[in-house]
Amino acid sequence: MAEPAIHTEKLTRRFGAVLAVDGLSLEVPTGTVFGFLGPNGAGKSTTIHLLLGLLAPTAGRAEVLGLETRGHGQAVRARTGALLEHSGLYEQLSAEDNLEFYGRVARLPAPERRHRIKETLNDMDLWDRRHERVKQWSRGMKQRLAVARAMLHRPELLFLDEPTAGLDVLAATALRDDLSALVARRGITVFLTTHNMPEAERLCSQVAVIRQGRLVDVGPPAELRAKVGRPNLEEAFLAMMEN
Amino acid sequence: MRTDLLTVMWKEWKSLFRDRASRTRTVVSLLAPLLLAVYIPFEESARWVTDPILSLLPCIPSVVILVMLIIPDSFAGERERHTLETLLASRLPDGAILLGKVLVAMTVGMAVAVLVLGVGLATVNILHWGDGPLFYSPRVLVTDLVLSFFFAVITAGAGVIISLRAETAQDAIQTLAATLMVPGLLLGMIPPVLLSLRPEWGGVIRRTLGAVGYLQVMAVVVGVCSAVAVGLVVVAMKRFQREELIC
Repeated sequence: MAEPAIHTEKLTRRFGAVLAVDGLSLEVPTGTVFGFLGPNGAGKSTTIHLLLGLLAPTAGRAEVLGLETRGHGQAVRARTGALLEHSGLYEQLSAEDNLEFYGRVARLPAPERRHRIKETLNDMDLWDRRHERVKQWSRGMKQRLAVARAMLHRPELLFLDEPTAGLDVLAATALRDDLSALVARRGITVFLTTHNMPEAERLCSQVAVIRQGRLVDVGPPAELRAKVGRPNLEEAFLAMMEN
Repeated sequence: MRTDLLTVMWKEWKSLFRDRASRTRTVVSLLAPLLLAVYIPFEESARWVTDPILSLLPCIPSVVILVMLIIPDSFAGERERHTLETLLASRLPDGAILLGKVLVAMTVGMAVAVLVLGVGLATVNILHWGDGPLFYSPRVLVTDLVLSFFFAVITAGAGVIISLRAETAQDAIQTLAATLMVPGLLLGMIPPVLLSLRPEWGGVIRRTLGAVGYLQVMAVVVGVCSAVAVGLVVVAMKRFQREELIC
């Protein structure tokens, strides 16, 4: 059996008196889209920061792609991609320059970098607008570019923190379609946080639900629905939040 | 580390000159020092190329102003625009991010110091057209470039420390300007006040300065500047840690 992409044991992070992540034990299978669901302030973003090695755990441990995040943060970040709460794009730069910068960060050789920039922008249907400054773009286009940036160095694991938040239905659908196609084509593991339950149901083969930093339940969406006897994940999620 | 450093510098350079507002701010901030670099040689004539103090007057402020505008935008501005978190989530080491940003600000600052010296030299040579070419004495050139370098490092170090705690780039610029003005004002105000209270000290100071040579004065100034610069850089490096920045 393949090594899990993410493995955490009693992962805990405290900020002063606030316990942001509380004894989280998870296993994310390689090659799956894993949904990480929870209300605002549940500890989803902090968990991503811990998994990327940006924060050290107060207690417990996490392994990402077989690497201990404490002490191997740089190696973890080199093999993963991330689209965090904000797109993180340099708005005064063009789309091409944004990708050029992150291609250089990944130390891709110049010919390979140029090839991948073209390929990724084509995948996202943004190639024709590559010279435009990003600040002129709609939020949906920026999110697609941010996904392209996160995928440019072909990471084995992609962290997506609410990628469709704030997008209109059309833009969100387009982004979901792009994501599904890319994930299917590249076979990467995706760790996705979202508030959008239909999105999680459609994209994820497994979901974990957290509340106040604690794991409530984990499993395939159909299994979680069945456990609480609800017809869809949204109602199942609400039922889990009430208990 | 070298490749990562150059990558950060590439991005900083692009960001600095692709943004129209940033370009305008840079050009406007250069007007006063460049005017001084014309006015002082016009008034002082050939002394401009032999007296280090004269050329320092526009050189140091231009370096300080430029670095003071660039560093807060590069650190506090990046956080304000929500691009810092993504940058920190990349494989770039902390040191490459910090040094890459600081080196671009210092390069621009030093380039402006050279520009000011060039404009001043051109003015003097136009005024003395026909007398043969004039050039800076080695003492002037070394003093200006060395002190410009140290003031660039000091401003950058203080700028990083302040920017890491500031809410916005604007806040950081204001705090940095106020912080740098305090020692400047003290240096400008305390000696005249002391001399008015104790006029006899003036003679002592003049005799003392007359007895020591240029090299001794420079050694003391460089020693003090080095200590301050190293201290600020060490504090900046200690504060620029992913864990601290992401919280």
